[in-house]
Amino acid sequence: MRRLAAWIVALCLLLVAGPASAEQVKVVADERGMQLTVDGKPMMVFGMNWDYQPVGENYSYDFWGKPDAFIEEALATDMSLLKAMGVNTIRQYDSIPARWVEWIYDHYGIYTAVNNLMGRYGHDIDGVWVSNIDYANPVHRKALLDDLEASVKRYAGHRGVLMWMLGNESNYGLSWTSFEIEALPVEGSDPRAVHLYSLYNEAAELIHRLDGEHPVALTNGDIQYLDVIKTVCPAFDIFGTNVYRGESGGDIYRKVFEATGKPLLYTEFGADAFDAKEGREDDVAQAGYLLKQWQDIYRNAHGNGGVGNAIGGFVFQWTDGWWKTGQEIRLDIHDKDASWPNGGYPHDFVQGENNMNEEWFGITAKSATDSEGHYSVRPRTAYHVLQEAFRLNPYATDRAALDAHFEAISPVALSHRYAALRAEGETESLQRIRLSNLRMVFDSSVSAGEAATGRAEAPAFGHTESFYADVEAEPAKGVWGKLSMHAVGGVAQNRLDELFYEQRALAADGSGEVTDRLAIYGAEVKVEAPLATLKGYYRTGHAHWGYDGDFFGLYRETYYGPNLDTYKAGGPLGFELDGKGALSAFDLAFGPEIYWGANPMVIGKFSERFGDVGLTVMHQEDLLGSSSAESSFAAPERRNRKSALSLDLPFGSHRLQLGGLMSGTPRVGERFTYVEPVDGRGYLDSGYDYVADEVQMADTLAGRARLTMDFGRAKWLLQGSYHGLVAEGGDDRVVSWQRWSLQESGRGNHYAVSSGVAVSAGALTVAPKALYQMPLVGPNPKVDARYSPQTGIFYPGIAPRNVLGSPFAVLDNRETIGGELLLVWDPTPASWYWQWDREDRERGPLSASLDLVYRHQPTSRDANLAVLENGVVVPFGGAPEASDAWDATLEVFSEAGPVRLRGSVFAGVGQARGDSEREVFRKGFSMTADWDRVRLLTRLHLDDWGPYDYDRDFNLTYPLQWYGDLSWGVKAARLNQFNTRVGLRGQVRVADADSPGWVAAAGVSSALEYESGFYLQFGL
Amino acid sequence: MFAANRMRGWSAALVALVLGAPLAGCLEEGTFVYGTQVEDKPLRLHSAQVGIYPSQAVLDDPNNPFRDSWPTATSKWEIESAAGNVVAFYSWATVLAYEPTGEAQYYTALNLEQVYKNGQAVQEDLDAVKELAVAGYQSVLDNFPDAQSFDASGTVAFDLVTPSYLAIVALGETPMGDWVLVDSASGQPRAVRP
Repeated sequence: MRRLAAWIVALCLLLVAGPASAEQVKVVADERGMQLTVDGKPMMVFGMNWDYQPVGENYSYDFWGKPDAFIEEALATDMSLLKAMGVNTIRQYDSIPARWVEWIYDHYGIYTAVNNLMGRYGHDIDGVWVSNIDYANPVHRKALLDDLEASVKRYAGHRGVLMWMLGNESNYGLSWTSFEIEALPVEGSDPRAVHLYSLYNEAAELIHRLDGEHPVALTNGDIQYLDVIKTVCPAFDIFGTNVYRGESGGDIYRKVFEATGKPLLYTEFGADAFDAKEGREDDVAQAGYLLKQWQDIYRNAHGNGGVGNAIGGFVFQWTDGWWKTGQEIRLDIHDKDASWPNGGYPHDFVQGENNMNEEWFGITAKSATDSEGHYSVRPRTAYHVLQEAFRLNPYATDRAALDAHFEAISPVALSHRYAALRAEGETESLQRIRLSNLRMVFDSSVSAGEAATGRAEAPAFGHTESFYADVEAEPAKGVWGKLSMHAVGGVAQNRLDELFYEQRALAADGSGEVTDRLAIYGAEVKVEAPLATLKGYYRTGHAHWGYDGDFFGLYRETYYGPNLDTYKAGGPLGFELDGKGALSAFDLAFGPEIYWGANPMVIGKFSERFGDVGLTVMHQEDLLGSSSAESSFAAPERRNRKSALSLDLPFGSHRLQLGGLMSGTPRVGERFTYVEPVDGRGYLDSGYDYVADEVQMADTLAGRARLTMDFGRAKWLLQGSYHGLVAEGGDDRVVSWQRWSLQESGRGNHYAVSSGVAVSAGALTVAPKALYQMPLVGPNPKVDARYSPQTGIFYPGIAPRNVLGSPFAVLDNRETIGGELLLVWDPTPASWYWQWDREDRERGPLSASLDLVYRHQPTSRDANLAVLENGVVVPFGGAPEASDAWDATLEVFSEAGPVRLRGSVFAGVGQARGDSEREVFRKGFSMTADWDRVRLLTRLHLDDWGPYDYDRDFNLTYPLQWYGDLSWGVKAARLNQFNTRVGLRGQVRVADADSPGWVAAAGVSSALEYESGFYLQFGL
Repeated sequence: MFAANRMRGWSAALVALVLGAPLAGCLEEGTFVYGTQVEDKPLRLHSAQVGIYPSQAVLDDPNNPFRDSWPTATSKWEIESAAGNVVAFYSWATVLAYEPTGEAQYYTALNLEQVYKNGQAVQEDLDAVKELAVAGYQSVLDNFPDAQSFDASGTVAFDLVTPSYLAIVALGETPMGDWVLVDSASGQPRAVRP
């Protein structure tokens, strides 16, 4: 009986739902024009470019990978609003699962235009991610068509598909230099366009073979290459195009019709809701543009007196994309930078300046994300205006009636709804100064240790309260500033990790008294001017210029992570002037400490492309030297002067870079010494001759060449360089193909050759690399001075050099023959494995890398610097004997259901930075596991250095270090996001005679110390 | 191993060849270091604070024979015992500049005192040398209150604060700070801060 009932219910459901087969969508034409019909009924596309991306996320946000309940709740909110507005179709890339296309249609009657990107932003070709598709390459073409075929088959038989779309203004991709929106090219002349559109023709034919029910639309950028399309791409049904021409498409309908005879569908169009000229939100202007644009579509629709081939459009877009500017940075900032110019929007257009604000195209504004990960939207005036506009059936009117209808709609009159919402929900955004973030940390702990650790055996209690407030101000258009203040309540005296930021508040006399409760934690200022953007920074990060022509790494990156706080760094502090418009080739950086440890300096850069050839000229002038530091991570440098010239020569998918550097000219004439091995006793019985010399002009010269070649599955890097004794550059932070650990030094006094190959097969990349590096003048040994009472002759000692006492030194530029094997398993190549935030980015079941590095170092080095507690910098007296070093690191990222894991396992043998001869064989692991809002973090290090710079400097190790932290947050934990969390933490260390603070005691070889604590952190 | 790898010459020539840089073509050879004769000439003060921590003026003193390579380990004691007071002053003052210790400060002051007493400075600097000697002893009290030195065996330590205190008094001055002289258990005077 129960089985019969089930059959009856199923039959009823089938009858209610109708057949599973899709509806037939066609383009029909008659003498009055063209229409899209669905099962024979004409349908104007009232479309919307819809997506779901919370603030703080970007293009990599995987909405469709969320649990069904989460998706349903989000769709219920947005689709209800869309349906109420009159929208009947959304545009979606083909990552939307077919079942959700059907769900949206079944619940809201809204169709989906399914868009295959045809490799617009890269594609997997034979297991290798290719960012820039070669449309002439048969292998690339086949891969794209195979992917399209699979895509069409996925949606076969599902209700709700309206049409297919191909690409996304891929013609612009032929000339733009990045995936960000740039100025629109006016005319197209790239010969690659023929290959692009002939591929689209094959794609359209393929879809027609597979699916006879739905038409195929291009997604062109305006009408560029219309002549090419007409010739090589006749198979498509609808000329879809992204158009930003302001109020009217002008002659676009006629030109498309005359060239192709096809209907026109705007796949993107609209206006941003920000007035770049006035520097304020302008929802009324946006609504005005959209109203005029739709009137234009209506006028050119079937039977309304115009060309008759307009069949609708997809408004760009539903809600603001906070990630658009920068795409991977400032994701939680609603950026007001206009990124491209467009005279079609005259209300805020100024000749020579940008006026299109990519992050403000939404016809709804979005709120911050709630604890579940959802956000709400506030319809802007354009929503209400279009709701009124869509009430008119475009196929049951005439020109006069439709004009009357549109002209009766007043954006100003309808703007009160959004104004009220904005006043209610975002009054702070109307203010010129606002509290943008507030962070509070309450931490208390108990610690103790056995006597030999130097700690009290009785438990010691301590607590720390730390408060941060970020204030943002916008006193005028284009002027923005952010000030972060820090206040301290108490400062724990019992911490095992004895250096932390809050100690900055303690009295200098060591009494432990908190005397300096309030301090500036960091600050940023940005001023936009017509020809330049001026940025000021204090203890905030900035990027290097390595990807903008800085071949020798003069301007360094300043993202130091927690070290900046741990060592209470006073920098970076400086200014950056980025040229715009006529000055776009120029950049300038200057300030007292533009990177941590830098001398007061000015760096200027001119970088321009002449055809394919890039030319960069740079100069750095140090204004003063410095002699103190907060950490040996940022040891002071002597005053210097550097000039660089480099060329960038791309050829095909390969690239040759050549550069010359003159650096260290202030050191010309300075004396230095070196040794040469001799047969016999040598100087002071050392076995060496001892030679004194002077730095000469030739010693300031350096040259470097880098060749990167891309053969698809295989990529090759070859680099060679020569650096004169004092020709010092900076660290090379540019990643060429893979983030290899084995890097050539940026110091002077060496020559080097390195080469790496990365070969990919499916998800696996095998990337070996080799490095040969040799100093021009080797390190000095340590030989004590002698005095002969008989002769009265003083024989000076020989000492390892250091960078403060000698014009150069042998440190990381030491003799090295290195080999590295890097293995990467990355089944999600669209999210580059080496992205800085891969901890958040890698979302597959398993991504991993194994890095094995061996450094054969047959000779020693000179002396490093140590930073004493009072900031005085002193050189070590010597250096350890020559020794080889190796490191092995395994990193794993995994997501399985609600659980995400990140872990690493490491082992290695190395030397301290100081003069200790003891080699350290360290090993350990760390792991972070997230289960929804719960985070477990643990790490175990065995025989490893302690956590601070001086531990590595002075070779201070612990036999065991363990840390564990279990916390719960109101939101899931994210990298660099400070959420409200509560947690328990624990720490155990085993110390021995090589550990810091060890108190020798008879019969005691090791001792235990521990700390356990509770913390509550609060963040907006 | 400290092989010199003296490739600077040919590599610079290579740069000259590649870059056509006239700058790179004329590297001069270095000179071998054999040691220098050190003479105990009369002291001429180069700076009012020379030899007093934290001054590093001695490193800029053209008369200092140890400017470029300071005495270490045994050589400083060889100089102290045999080279004469002026040379020993430069030796200790240089050590003090590079590696500030109470021992280096004490022997700097001690040699200044001997220079003064033996008239081994130019006449016009003699009074200043005495003042410097006092300042050097005072610096031991102020900056290195735990200063120690060791006997020739290197195992028996003796404090340097008390002889510094006594030397200031012997030079007719009064030690500053709250130092006082007390009798130790052995009956010997000892400078302490209550």
